[in-house]
Amino acid sequence: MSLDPRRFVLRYGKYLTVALGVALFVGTLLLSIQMLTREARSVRQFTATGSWMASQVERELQRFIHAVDLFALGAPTIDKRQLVRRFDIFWSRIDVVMRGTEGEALRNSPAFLSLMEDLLFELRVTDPELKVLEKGDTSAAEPIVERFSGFVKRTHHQVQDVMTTSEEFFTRERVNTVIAQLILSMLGVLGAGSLLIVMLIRELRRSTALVESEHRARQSAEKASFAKTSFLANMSHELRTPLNAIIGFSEMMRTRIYGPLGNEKYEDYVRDTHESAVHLLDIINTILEMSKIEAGATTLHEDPIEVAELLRSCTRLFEERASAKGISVTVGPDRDGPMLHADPRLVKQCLLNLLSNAVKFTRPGGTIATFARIDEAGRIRIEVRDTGIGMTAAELRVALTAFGQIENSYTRLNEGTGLGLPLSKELAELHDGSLSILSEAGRGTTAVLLFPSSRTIPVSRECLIQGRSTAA
Amino acid sequence: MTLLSKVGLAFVALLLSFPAGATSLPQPAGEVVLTVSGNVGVTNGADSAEFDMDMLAALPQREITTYTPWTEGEIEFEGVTVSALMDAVAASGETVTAAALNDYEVEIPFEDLTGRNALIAIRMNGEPMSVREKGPLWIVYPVDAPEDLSRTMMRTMVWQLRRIGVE
Repeated sequence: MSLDPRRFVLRYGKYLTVALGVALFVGTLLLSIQMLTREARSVRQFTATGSWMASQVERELQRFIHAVDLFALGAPTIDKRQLVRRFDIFWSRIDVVMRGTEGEALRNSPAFLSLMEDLLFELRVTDPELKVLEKGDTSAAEPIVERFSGFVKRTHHQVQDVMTTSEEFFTRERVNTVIAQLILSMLGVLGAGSLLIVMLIRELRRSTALVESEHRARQSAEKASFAKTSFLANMSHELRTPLNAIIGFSEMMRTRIYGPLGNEKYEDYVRDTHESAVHLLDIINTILEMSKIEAGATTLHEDPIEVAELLRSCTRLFEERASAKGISVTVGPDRDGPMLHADPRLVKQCLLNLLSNAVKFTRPGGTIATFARIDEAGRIRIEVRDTGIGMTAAELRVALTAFGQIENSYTRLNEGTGLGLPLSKELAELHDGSLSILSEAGRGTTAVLLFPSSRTIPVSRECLIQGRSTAA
Repeated sequence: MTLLSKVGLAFVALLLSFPAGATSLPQPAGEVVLTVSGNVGVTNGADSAEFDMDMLAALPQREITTYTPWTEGEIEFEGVTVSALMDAVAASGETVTAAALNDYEVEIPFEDLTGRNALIAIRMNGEPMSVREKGPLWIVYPVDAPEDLSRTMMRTMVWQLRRIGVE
C-alpha cells in the first residue's frame, strides 16, 4: 500500500483537525491561566506597595511624635537637627504618596487622600513652629504633639483599611485591564471550544450521511441483485420447461419409440437437436448457478464428505466417455481418504466441471489422475491431473473468466459453456477455498482445489482402525 | 563576567587606586551626607569614606533625564555615577547595600547598578534636593519611559540615601 498524501489527508485530516482544535483549546486555556496568574501577581505586588507606603506614613508619624516628645523632655539622644530630619522624613513619606504613579492607588481612596491632605496642612502649620522650638520647651511642644497624636488613630485605621480592602485601591484602568484580559481569555476558550464542537457536529453529520448513503446504495444494489436473480430464476424456469420438452421428444424420436423417421436425414437432425438441447440446458443451469453465487443467494448445506469416495462417484459418470476415448482414469487414495466439511452438491459440481474439462481436453490414450489428501498445513487438497492439450499462461487467464473458452481447433470439437472453470473457482471460494490451475501447453493441466484446514474433519485413530476393519 | 575576571578586575582596580589610596580622601568640611564602607581602598575615616555635598559635587558629574514612579513627568537629575563613586573609593565587591535616612535598606548586585548606569543624584531639575523632596541623595536609573522601570529597579531606587556598604 503506497502512501498517497491526498488519501492520507482525507483519511486522517479530521483527526488532525480535531487534535489541532484540542491543542488550540488547551493552549488558550493555559495562556489565559498564565495571564491571570501574572495579573494576580502584579496586583499582589501593587497592593503590597500600597500597603507598604501607607504603613510607612504611620511609622514616620509615630517616630516624629516620639522625637518631639524626647526633644521636649530635653533628652540627650536628640538634637534640633535630628528632630527636623524626622519631620522632613515624615513629610517626604506624604510627598511620596501625593506624587507619581506609585501613590496613585492610595490617592484614589478619598479617605486616604483627605488624610494625606490634612496631614500636609498640619505639616505646613508646624514647619515654622518647629524652627523656633527650643529643646526642653514642653509647653511649646505640647500643641505639636497633640496635633499629630490626633492623627495616630485615624492613620492606623486608614492603613488597616488599605491592607484589608486593598481591592478598593485598584485604579479603574487596572481593573478594566483585568476584566478585558478575562473576557479575552474566555472568548479564546469559548472560540476554540465552539470550533471543536462545530467540527465534531459536522464530522458526526458527515459520517451519518455517509452511513445513510451507504445504506441506500446497498439497498438499491440488493434490490437490483434480487431483481436479477429472480429474473434469471424465472427465465431459466421458463427456458427449462420447453427445453425439457425438446429433449424428451427428440429422445423419443431418436429411439424411434413410435416407429422409423422415414428419412436418414431426419435421424441426423434429431440427434443434433437432442445434443444441442442438452448443451443449452447445461448452459442455463450453469448460468443460474453462477448468478446465484454472485447475488450471494447461495447458502451452503454443509455435510461431511468423504472426498475420495466423491471423486470415485464423479469419475464413474465419465467412465463411458473416457473409455470411448481410451483414456484411463485413476482415483486416490483407495482408503482412509480425507473427510471434508462442505456442501456435497456444490463440491460435486465443482469436481464434475474439472473432470469434464479433463476428459474433454485429453487426447485419446491419455491419462487422468485424481487424488485427495491433507497437506502439511492441514488443508484438504484435491488434484485433477490430465495429460491433455494444456494452456499457456494467457489462455489460462481467459479460461478463468466467465464465457472465456479458449478458441482452438481442438476446443472447437469440444463445445462448452466457457463457464466451468469460473464457476468451479466461485464454488471453491464460497467454501473459503481456492482453485488454482497449473498448465503447460501440450503437456497437460493440473487443477488444484484447496479447502481451508478448518474444513478438514479430523479422523481419529480409532475411526481409522474401525474404517480399516470395516474395509477389510 | 566570570568570577575570576571579576576578581582580576578588582585586583587591577586595587593596584591602580594605590597611589590615590596613599593620598587619602580629604576630610569632609560640611555635613557628611554619604558614608561608603566595606571593601573600600580609599578612606578618610574609620574604615570608611565619608562625603559631604561639595566632595560629591567634585567627583565626575553626569546629567540624565529620566522618570521615577514618585515624581511627575520627565525629571533632570545630576550627580555622580555609582561607577565613578566606586572608582573614587577603590571599592571592590559583588553586592552593594544601600541604606536611607529612614533606615530603609536594600541589597543590590554591584553589576545591576553599574550595568544600568545608576546615578547617585545630588540635584533634581538643577536644584539640590531637600529631605522632604526625597533628598539629599537619590539612586536613580536613566530610562526612556516610566514603563522601563522594573519592580527590582524601583526597589533599589533608594531615596534619602545615607550609607553604602560594599561587600
